[in-house]
Amino acid sequence: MNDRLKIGNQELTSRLFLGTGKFSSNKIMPAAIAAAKAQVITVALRRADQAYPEENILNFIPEDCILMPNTSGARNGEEAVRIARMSRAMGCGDWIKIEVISDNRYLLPDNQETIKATQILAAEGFVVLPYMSPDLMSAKRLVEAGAAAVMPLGAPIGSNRGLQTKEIIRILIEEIELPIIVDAGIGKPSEAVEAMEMGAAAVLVNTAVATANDPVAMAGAFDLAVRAGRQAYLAGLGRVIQSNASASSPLTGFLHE
Amino acid sequence: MEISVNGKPVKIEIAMNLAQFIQSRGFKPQTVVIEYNGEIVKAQTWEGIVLKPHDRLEIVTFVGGG
Repeated sequence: MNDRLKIGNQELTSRLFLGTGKFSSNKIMPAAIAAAKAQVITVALRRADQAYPEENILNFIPEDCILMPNTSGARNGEEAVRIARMSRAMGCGDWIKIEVISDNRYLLPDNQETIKATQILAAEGFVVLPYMSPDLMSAKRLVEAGAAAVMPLGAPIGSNRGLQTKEIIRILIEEIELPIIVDAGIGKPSEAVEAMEMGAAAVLVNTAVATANDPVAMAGAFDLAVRAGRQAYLAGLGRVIQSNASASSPLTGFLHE
Repeated sequence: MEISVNGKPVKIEIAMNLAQFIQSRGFKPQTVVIEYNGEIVKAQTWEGIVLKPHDRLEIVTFVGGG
């Protein structure tokens, strides 16, 4: 099946994006990425601490993956732009996940600042994937600002609470021409299926995999889920009736007649 | 002299350029990006940058994240 997801100039066969945070060890990551069949992998940028010379995370990410650094830690658009430029200077491509957060309790993204950063970075040639609070008008402005995709949250970051924002995500899928990627909140494969059945272009999962008892097996489960959901979306879901029932077998030729 | 590295004061006893500083601190040059007084400086230019008092360095690297 030639069902590719086009983002920027890239055509992806995998619709499962994987984050690299919270894994108990970097060593699990290559197997998790392989099991997820993920092509897009997120990382974060932080101050390097020479007192704790950590293993370079890039050694655990296959070279044919697309690296999508995030701007986590940015509290406004300006900080996100700075982090994005430093990330690009690492020499691992032009993709950037904009993440601007000033709300420390629910970690909800600041859409207005995200739009500002998107505009600046898209003009500088970045492939910009903004993480956002699901909102139609903000999504439209992200499109105008030059985003390559729009990534609404399903539930607060790291919460594993699923598609709490389902109705707005449904509207975004319907109204926004760019790929809608559900980022944050997806905690179970069944929720990934649901997002994909609705027509989400992809899902970004991190905590659900990294905090599973067996992250590699869970990565595989998410791969199956995302592919099942996508195939169901392409197949077109059967209709729902609101009351009573509709027999699946013929209502004629019964043996008692 | 004293410079600022990742927001913390660091004392340097002898004159050195940025490449020497990075090496002396045990950073792996190919895994970091450096902002020197607010400007990103490419690795090829590090040798030509001689550190002076009150310079500000940000030395960053990729870590796991979502």
